[in-house]
Amino acid sequence: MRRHSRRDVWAALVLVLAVVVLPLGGSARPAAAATPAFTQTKTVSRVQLNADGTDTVIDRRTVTVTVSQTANLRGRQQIDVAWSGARPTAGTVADPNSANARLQEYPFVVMECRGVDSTTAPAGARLDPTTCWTQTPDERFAQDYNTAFPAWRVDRYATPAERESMVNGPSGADAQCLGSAKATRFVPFTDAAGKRYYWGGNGVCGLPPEGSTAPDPKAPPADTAYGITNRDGTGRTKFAIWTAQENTSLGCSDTVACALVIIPIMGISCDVTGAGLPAQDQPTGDDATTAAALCQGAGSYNVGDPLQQGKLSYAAVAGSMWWSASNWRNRITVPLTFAPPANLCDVLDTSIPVDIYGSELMNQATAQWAPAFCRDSNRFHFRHVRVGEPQAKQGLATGSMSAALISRPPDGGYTKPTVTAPVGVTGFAVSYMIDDQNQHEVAQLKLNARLLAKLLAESYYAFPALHTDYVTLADPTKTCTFQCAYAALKSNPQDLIADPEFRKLNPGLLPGGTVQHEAAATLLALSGDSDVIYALTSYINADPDARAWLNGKADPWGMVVNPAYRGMKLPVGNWPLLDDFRSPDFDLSGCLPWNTDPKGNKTYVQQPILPLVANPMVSLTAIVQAMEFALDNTPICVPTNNPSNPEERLLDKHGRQSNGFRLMIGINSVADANFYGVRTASLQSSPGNFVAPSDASMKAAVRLATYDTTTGYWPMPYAKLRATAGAYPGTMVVYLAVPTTGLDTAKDAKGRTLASKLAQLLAFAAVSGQQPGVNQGQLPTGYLPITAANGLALMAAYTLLAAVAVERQLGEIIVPIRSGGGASGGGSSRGSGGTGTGGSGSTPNGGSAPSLTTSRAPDLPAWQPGLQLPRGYTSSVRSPVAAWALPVLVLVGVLAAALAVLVAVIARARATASISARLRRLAERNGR
Amino acid sequence: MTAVEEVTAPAPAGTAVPVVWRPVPYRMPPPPLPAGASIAVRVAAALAVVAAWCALYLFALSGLQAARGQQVLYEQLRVNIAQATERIGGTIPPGTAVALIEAPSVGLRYVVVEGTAAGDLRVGPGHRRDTPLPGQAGVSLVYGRAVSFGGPFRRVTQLRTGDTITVTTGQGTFNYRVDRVRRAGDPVPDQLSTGQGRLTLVTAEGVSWRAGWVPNQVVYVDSTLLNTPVPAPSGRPSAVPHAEEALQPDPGGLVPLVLWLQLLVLATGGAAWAWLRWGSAQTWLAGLPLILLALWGASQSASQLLPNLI
Repeated sequence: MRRHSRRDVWAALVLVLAVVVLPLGGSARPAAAATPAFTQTKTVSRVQLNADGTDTVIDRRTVTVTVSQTANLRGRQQIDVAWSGARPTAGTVADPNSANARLQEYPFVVMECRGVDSTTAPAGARLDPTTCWTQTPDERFAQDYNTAFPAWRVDRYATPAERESMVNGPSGADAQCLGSAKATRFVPFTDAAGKRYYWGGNGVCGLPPEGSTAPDPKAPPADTAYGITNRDGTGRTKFAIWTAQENTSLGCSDTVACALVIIPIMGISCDVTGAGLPAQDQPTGDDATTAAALCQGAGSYNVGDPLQQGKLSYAAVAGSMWWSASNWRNRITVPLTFAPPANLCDVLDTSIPVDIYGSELMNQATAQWAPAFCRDSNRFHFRHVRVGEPQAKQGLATGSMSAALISRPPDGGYTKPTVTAPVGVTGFAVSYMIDDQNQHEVAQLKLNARLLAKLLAESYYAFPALHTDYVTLADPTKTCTFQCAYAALKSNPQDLIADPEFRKLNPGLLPGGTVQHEAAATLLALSGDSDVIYALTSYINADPDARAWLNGKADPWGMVVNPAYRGMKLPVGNWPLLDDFRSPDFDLSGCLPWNTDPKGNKTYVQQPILPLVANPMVSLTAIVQAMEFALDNTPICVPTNNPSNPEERLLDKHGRQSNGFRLMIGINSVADANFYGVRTASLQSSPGNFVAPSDASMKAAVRLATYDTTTGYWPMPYAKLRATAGAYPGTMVVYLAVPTTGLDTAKDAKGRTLASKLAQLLAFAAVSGQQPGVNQGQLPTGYLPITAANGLALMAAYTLLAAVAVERQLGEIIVPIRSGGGASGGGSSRGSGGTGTGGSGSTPNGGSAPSLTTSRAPDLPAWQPGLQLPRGYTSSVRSPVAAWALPVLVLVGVLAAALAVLVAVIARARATASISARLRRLAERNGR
Repeated sequence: MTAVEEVTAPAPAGTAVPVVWRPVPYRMPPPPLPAGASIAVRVAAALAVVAAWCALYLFALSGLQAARGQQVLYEQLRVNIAQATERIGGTIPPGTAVALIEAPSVGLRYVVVEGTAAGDLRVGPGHRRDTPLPGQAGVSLVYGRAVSFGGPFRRVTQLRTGDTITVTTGQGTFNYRVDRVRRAGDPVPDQLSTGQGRLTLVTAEGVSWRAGWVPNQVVYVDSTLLNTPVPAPSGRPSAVPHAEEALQPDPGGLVPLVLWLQLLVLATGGAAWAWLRWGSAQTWLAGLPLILLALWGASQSASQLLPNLI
């Protein structure tokens, strides 16, 4: 009776909750790319002041700029800046972030500056060129040894002080810093603390710690973009936002205002006369002629020409003049606001945080949720510790972790009553960074499961030398004795780009130039155990073509699987590197070790090459960085330049690929890819349909998932996904798993227990955390809100109930009231199972919401031999040989001894009896 | 059947005491066994003797052998530690003495050798080669037999939480505090943080009727290092062969077993030949040591084919 009444209470509660959930998420989600956060149109001009005081308009353009996001920015986030109407760029370089990019003519400069762009702002908080960040000295320092009147000294908009021969020179500086040029211009940088750095030629006058004279070509690029405008006046660049955490000298944060300053370089508006200036600042005679020649020209390159070695670009129109008054007045300032820094919570709240372990898929969501928690005194300080989901499950099993973000319950079930509450619908993305033959980023890429399997299964040979080895193995005139199975790979393509299947899916896509990337032969994946790899391999496994190919069937173009992977069982949580083909002589250009015996003979220590190419990374965060900046993780052999041993070489990673020639494919989370501006590939759902990750496609996929009562979660039905054209196959649900018994009951300073905190987090994740937005406490792009409007009322209700169960700590679990159809994911718009609870039938899916309840978990059965234990428990190691060898030995010994005695006694008795009988017969005969 | 009469024979001349013939009941000599039964009895008896020998070897003689081995190893260890030539890392050849392990509360005092294959564990507890040496940071595993070869780890399951285990290696003496005895189904201990060490003793035990003489499931004793871990030289093997894992036999014993059995066959054949040509006493004298040697060798090789922790 008591139990029944409790169930009724729950049902009523869920109804109430369902009503709470329903109004949320009713509005359609605005697509981030469609409506830019900032748009401004400005007329920019270059107007020459003639000697007679008249103006000559050399060029006038109306420039429109859009910026994808300007509020709540976080460190390293990439935003999109697009423009139209600008003057086309000439003398272009491949990498608009490099120091050389400043030499382009008419670039579109995008930089991050501290301060407010207003003349009314206090002096210390005002934005000017000295608060704008550049990476290298040459971008903010100019000097001329040939003439005293280079272009910047005849800038009509410059103040008289700025037209002197030495501008902004540090007072009291030594001769080395000031130099002996005829004209010198410093553009010092003022850091957030007010300290001035003068940089100077090669940085001799002092650099801020983040500045550099020669940026490391393998590191992520500098953060000043000299964007390239196309012939039609349009252009687009990505800009990585740096906060005080990335660049303390610039110091942008939620409390220090910063702005994006966008300068369409139009060239210096010249005034070679200098009327009204002191005599020494007026060019005369030859100086005037030189000044006019250096300033009034239109440039030395044609539009579209690349920058050439040895051909100087025309300084008056180059990007390096961004600070000149003529260019600076054309700027468009985009005020930025920043989210609280990632370490805000640690600063605000020094109490020990509640650690939530697990899935990297939730990185972006927890980054927006955490500040909303630690800033609210009624909430608490939590920290998302990113570990592989299996590790988090193990921690949950051993009790060392109390809350785990996972995408799949542990295989053997939990070790104590635990709720698996959905908190995020997101997924994995296959991201890429590929430049086409025009050196532009490829904007669309289609991949299917078989291509992913090929990339993962190390079946592209990557190095021509390996192909030669395979062909040698297959040579019919020689008898193969070793590694013969690898001969099958002789007709495989070198990499993805060379694969006819890929070319058929992506017609017209040719990578840039002739640069060969080993990275095209692999998919940059995770090295550890992860639910993401499990989902990816489940997708591959469910695809009949991919499965048949892995089983050894050649694809229509004759490509076969690497024999080391043939018949591999999927899904797996950890993708193994199985290729063990050791080339007899290919040593990666001398980088793999050789053994030298005492006689000095060298033998090559053969080792598999393709696992070096695969070179997986430890975390999704690391992979997304690699994808964002095209940091190639495949091996390369480089000389160490060791003077004592010129032969010495070192195995290194390729590092950053050159702009225009990039080719990277990797695994990311949908939310990370969105945040860092990494492009994602469309994956094949049903045959012939390719779906990119979006709210709509994730919604179509997650609606197919139904609640599974035995495992207690919503497994993704990969077979059904294959039959649904618009469903994104990488969709994954992230759950927060929390035990409903046995949590630490200690109370903190505010008298709160761990259980009440985790319950609060669950309740938040069920309702307010599912509101889309970029503010603290909202759900970032890349996650589908778990709301009734998206057909996920059941999930939201589960999480709310889970919050109650966690708070109560009575060992309850949450089960559907009716098993079977009623537990469907609420995906059907007709309200599957329709319980007919009053009124809710009118709202889609409302009817299925009350079909959950908490129930007392059955006592866990005692561990029995033979039962698969979850990891975290000592497994049973036993040996039948040990169990039976000795008993059998003893038994055999005893039996044999008994047998010997028995046989001896019986046989003897029988022999005695027969002799007696014969004697008796003899006596009888004699007696007669 | 036959009449029994009392006969007193006259005493022979020159003897002080007369010989008294005492009548005894006549027992008919047992009739010879039929050929088939005779063979059956001999085979069964031989089988029983072999089984008895095996049991004797495993439970008694192998202990003698291990005790002798411990003496030799202790000398080696003592000298090596004294001369500071004891190996403390890198690849140590299996069978080398690496540590002295003592747990006074259960009377444990043994020299630990490197390697955990069944052959290595014949002389005493063995240290698993892919784990750090005791005293170094990380989890160090020491395997020991439960019953045979003296059963060095027979009593480690009687260790109680808080008991002390002392280990002496080339790097010093280290104290460990016993955490618990861990069996299948028990939670594994938490992962070690940097700069911590653990020693886990691994042996086997039997339950119910197997208890005490047929160990067949692995049991662990975890203990935590109380001292600051000492640095570990690099170059440790990252994996061990299958034969060095818990309760695995060592197929490496097969070849010596065959050779010892050949010697046994030859020795037995030779003894049979000598019995006919030389006589029994000479054969006992010359053949017995040879046969015993071959038998001992064969037994010790055969024991390698049994799981390593019994």
